Amino acid sequence: MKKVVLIALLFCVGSSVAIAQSEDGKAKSGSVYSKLGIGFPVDIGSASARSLGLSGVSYNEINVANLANPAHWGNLVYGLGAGGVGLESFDANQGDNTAQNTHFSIDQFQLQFPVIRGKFGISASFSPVTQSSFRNYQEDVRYTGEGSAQDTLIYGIENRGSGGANRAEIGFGWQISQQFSVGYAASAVFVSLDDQFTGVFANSDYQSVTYQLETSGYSFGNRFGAFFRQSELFSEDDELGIGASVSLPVTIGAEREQTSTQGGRTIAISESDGPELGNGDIRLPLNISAGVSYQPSQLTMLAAEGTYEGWSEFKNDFKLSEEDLFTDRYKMGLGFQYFPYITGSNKFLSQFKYRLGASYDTGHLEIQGQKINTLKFSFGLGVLSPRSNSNSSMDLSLEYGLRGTNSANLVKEQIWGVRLSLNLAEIMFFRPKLQ
Amino acid sequence: MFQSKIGSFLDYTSSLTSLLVLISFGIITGCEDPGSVGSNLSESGADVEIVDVPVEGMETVSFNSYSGNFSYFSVGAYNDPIFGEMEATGLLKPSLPASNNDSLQQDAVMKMRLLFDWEHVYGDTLTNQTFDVYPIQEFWRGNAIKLKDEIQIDENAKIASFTVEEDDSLDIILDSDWVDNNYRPYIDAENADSLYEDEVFGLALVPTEGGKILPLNSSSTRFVIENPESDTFEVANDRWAYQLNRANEGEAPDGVFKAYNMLENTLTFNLDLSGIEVSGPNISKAELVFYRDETMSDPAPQIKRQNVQRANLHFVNPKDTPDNLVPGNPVVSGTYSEKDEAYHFDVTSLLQSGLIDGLPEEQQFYITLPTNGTVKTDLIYSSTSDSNPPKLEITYLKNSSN
Repeated sequence: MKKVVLIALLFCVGSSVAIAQSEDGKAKSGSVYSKLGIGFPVDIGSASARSLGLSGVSYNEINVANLANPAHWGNLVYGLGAGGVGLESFDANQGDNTAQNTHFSIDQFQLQFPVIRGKFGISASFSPVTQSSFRNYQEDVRYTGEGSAQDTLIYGIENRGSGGANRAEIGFGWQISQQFSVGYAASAVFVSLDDQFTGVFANSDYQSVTYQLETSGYSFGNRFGAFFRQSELFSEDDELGIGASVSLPVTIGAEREQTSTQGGRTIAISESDGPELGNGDIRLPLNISAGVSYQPSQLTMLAAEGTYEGWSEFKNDFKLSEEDLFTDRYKMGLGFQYFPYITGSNKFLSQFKYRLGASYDTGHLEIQGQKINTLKFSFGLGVLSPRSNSNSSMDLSLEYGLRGTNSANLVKEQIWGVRLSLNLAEIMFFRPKLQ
Repeated sequence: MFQSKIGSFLDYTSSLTSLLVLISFGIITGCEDPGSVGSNLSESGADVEIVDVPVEGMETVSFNSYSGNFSYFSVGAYNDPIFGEMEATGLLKPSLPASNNDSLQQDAVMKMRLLFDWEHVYGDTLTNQTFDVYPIQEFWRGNAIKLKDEIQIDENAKIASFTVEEDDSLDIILDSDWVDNNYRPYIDAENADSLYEDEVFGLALVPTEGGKILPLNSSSTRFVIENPESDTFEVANDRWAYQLNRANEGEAPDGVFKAYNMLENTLTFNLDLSGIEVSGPNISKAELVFYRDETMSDPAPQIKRQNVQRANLHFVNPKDTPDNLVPGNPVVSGTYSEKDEAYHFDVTSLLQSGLIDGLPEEQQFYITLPTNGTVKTDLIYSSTSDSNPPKLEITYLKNSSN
């Protein structure tokens, strides 16, 4: 019960911090940079991996589902399920302007089953690839009429965006030998983006006007993974893990239409009536993640991982003016975890999993010569199920980061985040039937 | 077994999950303050645009329309160098007393009481205007008689004459013979109403000399009966109308149309929406703008032409005109702006739907000056004018993605 109270307290504190940063904000928006392209890239990784600033490609925790590397699915012992939610606060500033946004998101969901225990497993998951959630507002003035009849028309345009690309994936992992496993996953990648523009006017003679740009499409993707581990490298209990995964580029055939609502009717604007409407391609880039982990014992682990995404090859036929903004992205993370519960100590603070990490992301955007990088620090707490025969757990991750720059009149964001994921490891009871 | 384990685990986390959902819901439904941060990161994708569409095919159309039972009826004459020699003959008929107690005693005097609204006088305000009052010799109805109809009057039986100078009101004593023969007998007669309706047709106020047209307020125009031995009482108008003769009109400047009220001269035009590349729902405001020619000043300081401040825009089938040009049911009522010297008609709703579903092809636009019984004129730049031609001004939110 104490654990429940503690994690509830932590979540409340985390949420309060996130909300406090947004003061009177509480907007349903995320990073202002998610306006560009088809949203901000979302790294594959559970709350536990995010606590380490990593994706989890280089290590495998036997009781926690892992989406980062398909090769891990070959090591499955239990049937696993995982899902999570997150809450992020973005405190953005640009020159003298500030904005506060808070974004609630549902993270990936995953089910994993061992077909042959410790040899061959399968996975089904649904996870975000990019996430767009923004809202900004800009005022402007237009002069109407001439001479003495000249008048001033003050107006504002609000731009809201939501959606992104999501991946529905199924795959398998095969442990070829005790040291080496491989995996493959096929996915359907869906893009669904809503960009809404609303014009409002200071003069009540003018009606406010709203239209949406809706972009949707899908394609199929492929992901490969490999994992190597070597035990007893320097001591009896240690283990070295090296993992890598590759997501091949995906070209999505998409359609964009402009719609407006009038008198309860939704009016669609045809391709010939609006710019950049109709059919076009969205090309998602190659993703390579790799890393190395070392566990001196079961109590601790140190891992370093890196990710490359070829965003310079990103293509979006619907936003050609943004093409030059994208650049290749590199992300490096370093994490450390400590599992004192393994000692079997009865002390209260020894009953948790502790994780600490930091990551630096060069970003996929380069605007006016400035890369939009992100530096993040994270801390995680894992709570085991109080039932002695259960391996399920709950992970809480707290994040703090800085993104962007104020140079070149760009936006700098201070990010507070809290994530919660549930890791179900009870499905092992199906194992005899499956085998 | 499995279900019970999962169930117990979920029990364990249920309090947290509920907490999470509640907090998240609160956040999602919270108020927003996005600010302008980040709006310059990429091109807006939307901008407010204003486009002017010329109004083509403008013409004038004249109708002989109803002139009775409006708020005013006009009397007088004025020779306007542009709008011609105007002569307005007022037609009215006194009601019978409403109360049985009201009667005309012997030697009673019947007066016609006129109240003048100098704000709405048309013409030379300093000139005296004289009138003769004659009996009307044929039946007419206030809601059926038209502006250009000819009505027979007996110019050999003058009932009164009067001159309007600068007074606010005037009591005109009606000829006692006319009162004795055409009013008194019907007060106490059996079937008084029907007999009075069939046999007495009212009075015509015919302008003789002068230079102004006076709009008479129909509700304040009264007949006063002064009995020598009992109380004075008033009777209201039973019906009222006026006839307007206009002759020898002057030439309007090139590219300028003359517009008269009472449908005497209306402006008509077509609006071709096929060339407008704007989506209907994206329109924030659509305004038809018709400019007034202010270069033709009043001939002299004391000369007043009615300063028209409102006009009506109708969108009707030409086959049914003028009956469908109902003053109370225009598409929109436009206002005159001193700022740009133009009438502005807000046609936002009409255009929003028109650009989606199209406008009915058989219908046409008409602009009418107020139909209220006064005399009003105006000069409007036409579509052929080099300066200030009429236009449709559309303000809309444009998808400027590129």
